[in-house]
Amino acid sequence: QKDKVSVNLQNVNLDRVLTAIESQTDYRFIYKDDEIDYKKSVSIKVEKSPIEEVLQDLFRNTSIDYQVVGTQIILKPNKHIKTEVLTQKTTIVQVSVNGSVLDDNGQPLPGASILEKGTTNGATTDFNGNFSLTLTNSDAVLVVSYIGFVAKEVAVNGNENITVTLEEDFAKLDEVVVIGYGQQSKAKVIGSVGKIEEEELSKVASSSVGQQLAGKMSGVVVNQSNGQPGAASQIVIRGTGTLTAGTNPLIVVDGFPLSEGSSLNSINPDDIATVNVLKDAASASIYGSRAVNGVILVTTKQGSKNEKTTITLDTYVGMQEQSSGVELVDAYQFAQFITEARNWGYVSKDPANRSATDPNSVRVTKTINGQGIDGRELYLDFLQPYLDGKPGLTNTDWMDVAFRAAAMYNYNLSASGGNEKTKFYTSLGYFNQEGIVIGSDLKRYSANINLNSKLTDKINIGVSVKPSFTDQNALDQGSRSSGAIALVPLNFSYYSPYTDNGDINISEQIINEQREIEGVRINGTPVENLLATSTMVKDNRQQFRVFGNVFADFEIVKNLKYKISLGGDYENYTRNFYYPSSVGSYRTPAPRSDAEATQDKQTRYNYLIENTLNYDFSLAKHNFDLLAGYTFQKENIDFSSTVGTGFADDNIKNIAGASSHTTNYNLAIWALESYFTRLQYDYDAKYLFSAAIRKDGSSRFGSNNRWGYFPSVSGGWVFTRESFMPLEDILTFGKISASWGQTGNNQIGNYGSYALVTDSNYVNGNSLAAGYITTSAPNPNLGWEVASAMNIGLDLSFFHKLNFSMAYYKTNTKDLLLNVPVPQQTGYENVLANIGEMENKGLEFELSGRNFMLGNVGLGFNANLTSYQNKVLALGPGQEEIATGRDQLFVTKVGGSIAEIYGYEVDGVFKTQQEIDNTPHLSGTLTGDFKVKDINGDGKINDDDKVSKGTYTPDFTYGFGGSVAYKGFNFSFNFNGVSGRTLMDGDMASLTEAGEGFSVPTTYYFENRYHPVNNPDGFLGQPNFGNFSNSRKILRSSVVVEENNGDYIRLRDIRIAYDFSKSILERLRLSKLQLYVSGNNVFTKTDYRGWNPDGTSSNILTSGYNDGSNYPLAKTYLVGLRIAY
Amino acid sequence: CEKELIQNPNTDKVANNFYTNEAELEEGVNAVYATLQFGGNYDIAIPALGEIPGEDAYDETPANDGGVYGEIDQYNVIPQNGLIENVWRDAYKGIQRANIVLNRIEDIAYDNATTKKARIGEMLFIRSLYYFNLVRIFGDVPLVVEEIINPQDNFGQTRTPKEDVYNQIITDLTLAVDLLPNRNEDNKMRVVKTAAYTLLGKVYLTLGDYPNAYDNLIEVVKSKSHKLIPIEEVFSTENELNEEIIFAVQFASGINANSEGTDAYRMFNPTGRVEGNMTGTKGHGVLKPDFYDLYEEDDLRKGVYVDVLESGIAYSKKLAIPSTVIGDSESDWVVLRYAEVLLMLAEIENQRGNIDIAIGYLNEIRERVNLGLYEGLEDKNSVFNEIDLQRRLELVWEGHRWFDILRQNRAGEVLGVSDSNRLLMPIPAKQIATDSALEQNPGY
Repeated sequence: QKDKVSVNLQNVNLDRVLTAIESQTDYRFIYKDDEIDYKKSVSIKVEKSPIEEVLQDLFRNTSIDYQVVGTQIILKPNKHIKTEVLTQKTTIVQVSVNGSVLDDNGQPLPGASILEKGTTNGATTDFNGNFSLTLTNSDAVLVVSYIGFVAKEVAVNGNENITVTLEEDFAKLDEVVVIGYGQQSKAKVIGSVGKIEEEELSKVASSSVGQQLAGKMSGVVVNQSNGQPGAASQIVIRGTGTLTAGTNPLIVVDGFPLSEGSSLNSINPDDIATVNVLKDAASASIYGSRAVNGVILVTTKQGSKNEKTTITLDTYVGMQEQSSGVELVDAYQFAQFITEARNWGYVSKDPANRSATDPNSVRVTKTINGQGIDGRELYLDFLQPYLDGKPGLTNTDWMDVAFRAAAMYNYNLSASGGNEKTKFYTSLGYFNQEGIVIGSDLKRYSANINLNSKLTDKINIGVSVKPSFTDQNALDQGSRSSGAIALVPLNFSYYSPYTDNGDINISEQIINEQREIEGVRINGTPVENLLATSTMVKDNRQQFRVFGNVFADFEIVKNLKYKISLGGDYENYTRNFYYPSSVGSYRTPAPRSDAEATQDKQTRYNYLIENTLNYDFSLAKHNFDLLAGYTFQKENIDFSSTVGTGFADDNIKNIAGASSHTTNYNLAIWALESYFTRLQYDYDAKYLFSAAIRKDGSSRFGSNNRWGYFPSVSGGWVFTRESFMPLEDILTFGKISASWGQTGNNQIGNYGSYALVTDSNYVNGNSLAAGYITTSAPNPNLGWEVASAMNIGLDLSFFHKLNFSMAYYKTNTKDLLLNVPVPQQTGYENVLANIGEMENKGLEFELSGRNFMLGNVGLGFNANLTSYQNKVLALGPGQEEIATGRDQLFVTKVGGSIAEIYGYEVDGVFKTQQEIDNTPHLSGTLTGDFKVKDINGDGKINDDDKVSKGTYTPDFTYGFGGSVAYKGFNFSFNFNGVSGRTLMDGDMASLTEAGEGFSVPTTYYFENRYHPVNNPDGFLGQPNFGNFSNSRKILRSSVVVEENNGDYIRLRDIRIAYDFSKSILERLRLSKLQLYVSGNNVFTKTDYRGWNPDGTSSNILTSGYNDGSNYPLAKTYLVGLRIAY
Repeated sequence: CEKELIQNPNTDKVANNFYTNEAELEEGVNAVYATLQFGGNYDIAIPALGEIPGEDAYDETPANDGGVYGEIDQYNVIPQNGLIENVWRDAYKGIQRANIVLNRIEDIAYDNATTKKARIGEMLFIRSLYYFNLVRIFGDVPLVVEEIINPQDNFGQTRTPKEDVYNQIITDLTLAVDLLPNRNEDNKMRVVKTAAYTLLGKVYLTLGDYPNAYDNLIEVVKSKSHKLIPIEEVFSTENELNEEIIFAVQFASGINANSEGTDAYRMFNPTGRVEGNMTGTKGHGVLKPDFYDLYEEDDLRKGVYVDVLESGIAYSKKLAIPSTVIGDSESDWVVLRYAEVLLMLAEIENQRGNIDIAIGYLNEIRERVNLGLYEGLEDKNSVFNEIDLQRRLELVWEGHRWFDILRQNRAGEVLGVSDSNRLLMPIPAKQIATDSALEQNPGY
């Protein structure tokens, strides 16, 4: 620092000399106006003198003493001459000013500070935001500042009354984000860390924070593949980086890493303060072998020190209804469809000898080669009144039976506060959600305690405990025996859910659709009434879970802190399934010969020991933060499943009523031991650098590959802090950063490296002969997938109001854990091995602005967009592609993307035999079947004519929203969407759009089906029951896959809230009272005709495959209230 | 804490520590037998493939269950057919398991050397049975006779010519005949010497090698281990593993959560067959009414082996009505029995010109069911026709008919199948998608 001064001033006021010195050095003078006579006339002449000498000269024989503290020079009066100062003071001209300081919503800001510029003269505002200050100069300029707001300078210009409005510091340069094992000023973050706050999360009503994140953050895709209350969402951060291993991000709650894939339902979203997402490898690599899918850091609410205790009640009630693209025909249309299907099935087998007008009595005699007819070739005479259009017949809309307007409630009572040493937050929550599908619901009881206390100056301790209990009814919706959604298209609209006397109609359809006509079974669809199964089959899951940690930190020497944390997670899960004999199942009417019951029990416990050492210090403008740590975590999962059979009756609705039991038991243990260290450095918050490395050892990996190293480096430059940067009033913040790091994926199950011997029994006579045999191949080299990822980021802030950031990411994953399909002559279907390589890259953009004022109206907006490109670089040795899933149409090949959905290009239907004969076609094509484009023009239709129709992974995802604030009102909305997503719906392919007559068709299919008489212009396959050709079987999945059929844009949330004003609150003795109404998923625009455009299978290699298990999302309407006392 | 990183499975056995003693190896042997019960083997698929394409059985609901049975019935199987996929997968599962035991048994001491020899013979028999099925269904198939340690090494393996596969089968069964013990009350549930003789004889018959076929089959007669028993006892669940049975895959009802019974009852019985509250049969292998009419009025098999519903749909009664759940029938699946040995010998002797001897075997079958002695013409052709008819009537729905027609080259004549490509099933599409080194059969 500069400490030599040159001053030559004669007979000037003292303050001028002080200013001259300040201008040449880093020193600042500090004094009280009323103590120091700064107008005193002085003379001084020094040339490059040390500051100490200058001060001695200046104050020798004066009434002023000085003291140098760092770069501050404090001036105090010399006691001997106090009276002289008082005398002098009377000569000063005084101007006084009154005023108030408000925020941009016009609310007063108590505690704001007002300083007369160039002086230390100042004041703070009172509770009502008012201040008064006596100025030393009528031309003074006031500097008004408040934490979290942009400081403002206001010229007094002789005004006696001044109102100052401060704008929130949107750039939030001092905002802190949570990073692995610590936190950091947002301005200094050089990786890619997304942050989202409570306020934004709470706009979506859900039991799970996962769902609340959907569409809110660039690079983070939340696929709500199953909308059942309590079902987990798939969270994909920057694309899928694996083919076989788990895709779950690591979730760390208040420092405790949860087991991958463990339910987020056990965290009450109301307790969450912020969620930070570590998206790039450099940020995430501190979590090493578990970080490849990104890391989500959840921070729950804490109290504050010296805060009066606040009690808050948050509550809402809501109503939900289904939002799917499924539309099925009614009973009259269905009767026509099924008649067409049965007639064409009959005629098409032998068109020369058969006619659609043949009565059933004739049909049964028209055997071919001695074989009787399939009952599906009979027409259903009992449907004649429907065909005649007779009004008033049974016409059940089974969608209305399966779905309901479902209620949801949430209550959360919390208290927070603190004194000088201790702060606390505690809450009790109750959440109750009925599912939109009958028979499904979720109840959660939860609590949270966060307590922090300073034992001494050097020691802090804290406790965090989160118990919860969830009680869920969740039938497997994909089951054709008891899944309401899977049964919707199979419950025929000419049956009623109730009998004439109002009882639930049991097994009428199963029995009727298997009735005989002319001695032949009509062989319709034999499923049970979904109302009966949904109310009588029980699938209850209860989970008690408690997790949390205790920690203590000690400051060993100044700035060197040691922290030890002990964490634990305990979960007890019970599932009871009971299928009574008094309700039918697929093809089996009630009473069935036996009931079935299953009980699954799981106990999981997990403990974590974490030791960290942290040293942060500064040398002048060089700031260092060093971290070193050691952690050990171990988990036991104890699982048993008991199946009971042999029920005498339905009295005892669980395994206790069974006479025979079979139990499977499994105990799995994993352990993870880790060492890590990290250096964070910056020079003057301008040049930023960070490097870290973690070493992980995992029990999941083979003996030859047990330890892995995960390094990262990153650097950044806050160029707006350079003095040469122009336009600093416009471009208020700018940073570029780059990072590189490696992370791993260890989600491969616990004993993947062992060749396991599993049971496979035989019977000798009537006794079991226990058999055991090798069922998996050993792989002692099994290790983690390693992802090397780079990230280049740019963050800009204009006028403190408008923020823009973008990032380019590129991740290369090698040693892919691949459950490769192998040639089956080996006796194996798949083996797990570290082979394969893949690349993900894309761009992320985020733009947001807040506090744009139009008079009293505040406006804000936000938008994000992320692109995804996935490329498979290598598979197993000699392996070019993996073709799997329905009809092997899901193809993952080298040079392509994961799970591209292939299919034929369908081009209308054949209407004459002549047309078939003259056109390349698949063997077994009938008239009314699909025409296929001969893509390669070789005159044959075969596998080579299949083309890629896209992938489940979208080309890009986006979200945008806005907010408007006026006085106490706040209106906000957010949209999110995906673009470039392709889906295959299994139920559409084989049921609702197959035209096979097995199920009720969609309206789309019905309106566009081909029938030579009833719908000659149709372009979809002619209804055919009983003679569904091979050509149709091969093409039915292709025909429902239209490129980008999964695109959607959704109004994710819309909300209007009113905050009662301070004056009302004071009268009510409340600190906050907010009322709101909101809606979620109110509107979705998509062409998808299936249940859920987010739907996918859990197998990555068949991503985008949908069926009835993809429970649709709910539209939700809420009314909420927040009261704080 | 590093020792914590070594976590061995607690509830699964690990191959490295397994196969160390006789007891563990016996568990391995049981697991090889277990594959016989798999859906792609003798639970469903092999019976279906053997019977449904024949002229007597047909699929009442050909469009149901993805059409997999209907395609087989109508000779238009597609490579995506799920039943075909299962046959391929489950046969090779059984083969690999047999190979594991064969690879490891040499080093394990058995208390009784005869037992060890028997086990080797049993494994060779079961492996041969699977290859015999595969080669008859698919033609050339990859031949694997060693335990596979690293399955990825098999990428690129092509199909072995069926002649080589048959040679392996004959070598193995020849060895098995020597290793296996004679049938007795303690080993009758396992593979015994007569089973190997019967299968080897049948393999030779399939290849048209009558002398070798005769030499092996006649050993079964000579052994006196087997005889014909009253027909109502042959398939009775009270009397399983009786003296007529040479080899049967065992099933049992009501144990292991109803998972040890056979699903064949549900799959193949007419949809209209209702027995108490046992409904849900699928009609995939009913019998044609004109076939049912071939049973003469006095034939004891009528009402015992076969019956007819009021609707006129006939069906096999050889599988017991389940008492627990519909997919849990108690009946064993009979793979080889003495009646077939006699019919094969009759066929062989007739082909070799020993028509009198042939008629002698034929009469054993006829007399048991009250049909009296054969009184028709005694030329080779007429006798063949009678043997063929008795095979159909006696062995109805035991999964032989299609394979009989195939080995006799009569698919065109009997079934009207003119496209010879249809006589072999397609290699599963899934397998070709996994490894293009496997070539598809022509016509698919």
